[in-house]
Amino acid sequence: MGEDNATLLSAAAQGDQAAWNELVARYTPLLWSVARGFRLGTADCADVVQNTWLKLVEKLGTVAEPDRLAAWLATTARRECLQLLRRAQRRRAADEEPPDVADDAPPLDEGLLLAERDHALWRAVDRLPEACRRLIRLLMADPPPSYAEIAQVLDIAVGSIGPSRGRCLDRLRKLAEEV
Amino acid sequence: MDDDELVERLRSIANRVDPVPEWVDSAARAALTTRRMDEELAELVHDSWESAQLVRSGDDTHVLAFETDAVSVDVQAEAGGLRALVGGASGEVVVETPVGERRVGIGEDGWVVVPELPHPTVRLRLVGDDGRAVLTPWFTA
Repeated sequence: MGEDNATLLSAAAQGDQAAWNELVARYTPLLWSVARGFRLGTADCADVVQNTWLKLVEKLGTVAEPDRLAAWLATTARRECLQLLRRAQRRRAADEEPPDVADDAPPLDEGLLLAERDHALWRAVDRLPEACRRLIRLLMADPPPSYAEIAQVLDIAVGSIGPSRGRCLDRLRKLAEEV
Repeated sequence: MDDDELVERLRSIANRVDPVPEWVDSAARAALTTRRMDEELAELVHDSWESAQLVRSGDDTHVLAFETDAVSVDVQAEAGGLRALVGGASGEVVVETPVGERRVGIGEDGWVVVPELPHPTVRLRLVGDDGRAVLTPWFTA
């Protein structure tokens, strides 16, 4: 759909807001999924997404591989997640306000929105082991990232994604049945 | 339901119960306005949170170092605020965050002290007495 990344990046670097908006629309769902994969709450997910875009603004005009933009963004988002988790730890140590991380599953009105089976599946995603949760969350992004992008984001081999996906989905089915 | 159908089902659930909030998209679109062309961009040369292990207890000051050819900025961020030692420039520092900015003079000893940050996402813009303008990348304090 639409222009390729190289064209959009170069237009955005010239101040073309529409081109920038297109990039934002294209990749924000992916970044949101990366952050949710770390079980960050809504405010922290928002910071991760925003900081990632701020970092791209800094790099506009010097992005070396536009075809790998999704991977660059997602990797940057992952780094932002780790920094936020680190910061949350310090906040805990300093006994400040409680951190906006962990067991803050997205606010759910899902009783209204979801059938029982979907509700169970959604809850089960949050109870997956960390590696599975991150993978499944990425696969849930809309539009879905490619396997090559997932491999770069999670720092795993492309060839391992298929088998991992199968294993994680099996676990998810079992967890959903237990709910 | 096979695997592909399950993933598709999950995607549709996420779209309904956890869509990206509109204000997040809106802030991302506005991020383009933070682009600055007139300053020299300092390079991040050290970040204590990049290398060290994630799990530590007690005091955990975030130490970052930025450099250009002529100017250095060493940042120590703690819960709430930050201090920065500026080398190679005098004048003032504009502390930028997504929710506003504030100006702080560089002390004679080179230190800049910001006791309270309004937001953990920060970048520092040096406005030198000699007209030098340097910008750090965004970082998490």
